[in-house]
Amino acid sequence: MSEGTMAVVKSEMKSYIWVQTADGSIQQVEEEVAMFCPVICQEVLQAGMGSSKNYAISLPQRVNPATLGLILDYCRFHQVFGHSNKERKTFDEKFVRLDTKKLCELTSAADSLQLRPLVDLTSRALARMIEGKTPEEIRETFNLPDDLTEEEKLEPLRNITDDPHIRLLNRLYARKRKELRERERLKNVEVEEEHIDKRSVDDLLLFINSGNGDSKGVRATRSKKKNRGRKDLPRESSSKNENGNHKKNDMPDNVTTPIITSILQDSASVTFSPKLEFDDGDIDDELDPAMKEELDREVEDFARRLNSVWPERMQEILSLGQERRFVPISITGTGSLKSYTVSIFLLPFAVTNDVSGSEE
Amino acid sequence: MRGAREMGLDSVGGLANHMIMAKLGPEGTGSLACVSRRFRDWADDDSLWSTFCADELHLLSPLDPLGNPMPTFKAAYQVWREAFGMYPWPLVTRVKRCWDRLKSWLVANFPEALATLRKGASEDKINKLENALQVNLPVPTRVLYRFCDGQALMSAEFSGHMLGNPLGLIGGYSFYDHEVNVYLLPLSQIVRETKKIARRMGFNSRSEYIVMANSSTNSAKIFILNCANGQLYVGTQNFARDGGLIPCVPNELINLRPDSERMRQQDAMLLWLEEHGSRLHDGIIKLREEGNIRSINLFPEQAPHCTAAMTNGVKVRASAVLAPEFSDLNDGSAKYMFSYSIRMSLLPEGCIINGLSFASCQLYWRHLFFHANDDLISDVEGEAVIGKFPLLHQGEAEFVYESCTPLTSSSGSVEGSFTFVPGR
Repeated sequence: MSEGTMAVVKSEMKSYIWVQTADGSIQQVEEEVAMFCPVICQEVLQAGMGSSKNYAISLPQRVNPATLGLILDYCRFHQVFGHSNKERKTFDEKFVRLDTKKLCELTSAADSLQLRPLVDLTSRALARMIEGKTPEEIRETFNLPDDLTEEEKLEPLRNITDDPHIRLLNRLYARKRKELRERERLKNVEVEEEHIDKRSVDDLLLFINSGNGDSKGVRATRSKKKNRGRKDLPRESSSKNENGNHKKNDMPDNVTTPIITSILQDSASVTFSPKLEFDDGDIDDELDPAMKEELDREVEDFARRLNSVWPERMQEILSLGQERRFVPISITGTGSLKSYTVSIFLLPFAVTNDVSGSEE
Repeated sequence: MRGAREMGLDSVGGLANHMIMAKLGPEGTGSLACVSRRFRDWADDDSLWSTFCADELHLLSPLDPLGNPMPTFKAAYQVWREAFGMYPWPLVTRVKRCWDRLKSWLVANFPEALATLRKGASEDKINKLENALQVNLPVPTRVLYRFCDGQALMSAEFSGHMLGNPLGLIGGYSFYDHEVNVYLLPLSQIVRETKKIARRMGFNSRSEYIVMANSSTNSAKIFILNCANGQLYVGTQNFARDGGLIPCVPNELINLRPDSERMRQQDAMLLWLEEHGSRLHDGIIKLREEGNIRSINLFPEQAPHCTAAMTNGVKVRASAVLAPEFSDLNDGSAKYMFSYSIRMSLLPEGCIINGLSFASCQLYWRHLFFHANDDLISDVEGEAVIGKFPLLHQGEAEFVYESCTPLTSSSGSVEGSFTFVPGR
């Protein structure tokens, strides 16, 4: 009896605010909890809304009922003054242990409700998830579309890596890319979007020879000398993109490499590992000899300076690299080149061939 | 793909975006920007880059490494990363901080010396030096010189003059007729001086030693960097004869390995300049004005390395400095030469004795004890100090004198008393 009276008294002392989520469902929320949200607070105080079912506050579209529940849990906990900082911290840590989808929804909802402390908390959690991942990995984790052109992916911050070795090589790459683009522009070649297997080898050779001149023989030796791959640590994301994603124009060169290299092998009798077909070394071979000389010099110089540090690094790189796999280029029916992820080692020039052979 | 109403990372809202990118930092934001068009657009928010520029580079306006204005902070940040891409970024920001600290002190206290700091050397110039001297500079020193290529002192004005050039960044001291003022050599001078020393001392061509700093005065005080181990040394008295050197930085602090987890990559030059900047900022060493000439003085001005005592209104402060160029580690008794600086002044209240106040007083007698470690090695007393009987007036600037003493050990002390005669 008395309990029932107590219950009645209790509910009369608490006041509720009515809110409506985008899907139309209406629910009541304890006032002190709801007022923790600036948007709700504003609606109540300024617009006088929320006092009854008919005047329920319409919450922003990004707040669905499930997320609202989470947000209210957060508010309910934090609006109590009694909790110590440690308690709040523990609560927060547990609170953001959600899958990526829920976490994004929660962040979005908190953002729309302008609940700054929660946005801060969830942003930090999301940042932790994003940290250290390559763009491709980020897309995978969060199920995001890939709508940048290959060109745009090379921009704008490709040099933001931590590894000075990688960085210098990136700069060499960047320069080569620029060179390549200039040459392409000068040649004004429009690449037909055909299936590669429809082209004849001769056509391709002609196309490539027209631009390369004598650099054909250089190609194999350069790739061999460079033995390049990409050290695929998470942080080198931008550099990875730069070299992993080629422009459409590059496609024929890349895909035809195996054909050409086999020809070269016969004629020049150069050992050229066909597995390097995805290697960016292909791109470089379109440079003129003068540029190549200069870059070779820079590379030699760099090699000299790296020599003392490299052997230990090699172990690192190799152990990391074992987990990586190649993803081949796929060509869709329309002939457009889908972006592909290539894990290549970026190997130094001081390393001998047997190391490079094991890079796959 | 995803449902239309699905909310993913790209629809978390503006505030959240900004927070995420701010927490990711420039590298993470760069990766995120390569994910899709939306992220690329968000990453274009220049307020984000202005924060990154401020945090990492202390840039308050978008400038490139040479000080030229850039259109956006994002562009500025990119230019910086590209210009220093060959070095570990944390080392670059650390070196920038080091130079910024030195320069900010100079701006506030010694602008004429700031004007002598040359702009950074290019990679090309540094490589040329390495070729010319057949050395590989430690990486931190390379970065230091990318930011500032030593000092341009108008040597014609002061060369050969005993006083040298007072604008040396490292500064110096003087006692009796020995004056020292050390400045950082620009790369071109490093090559010249190193070759000179090598010839004179018969170093073979593969020597790892290069001259980094010199005294512009007659007195030879020379700082030499060993490119192999990254340590900086100062020449002792028998440097010219036997190549005597004393290391300047504790060996255990030097780490030339870029990948060490234990310690950051740092060589003696970086540590030395960082320490110098700290001492200047903390006021441990200050600017000294003698006549009209201002210079950085290496006698400590603050406790604990500067002590003070006061009796009856007479205040005496004292501190000491090692003069390695006069130390000879092979000499038994004169192993370490220390110079000490005594400052005397009379407080504004005057000299108060038995309730009477005197407006001035004059030095009459000194009595000093010198200890090497804890052993008394010398007990001197006599009238005057360096032949002078300084007259102190109440509230006036300090009278300063310097003298020196050789010690057998690298640590010691001087204590004593000065006797003054009060006057009107």
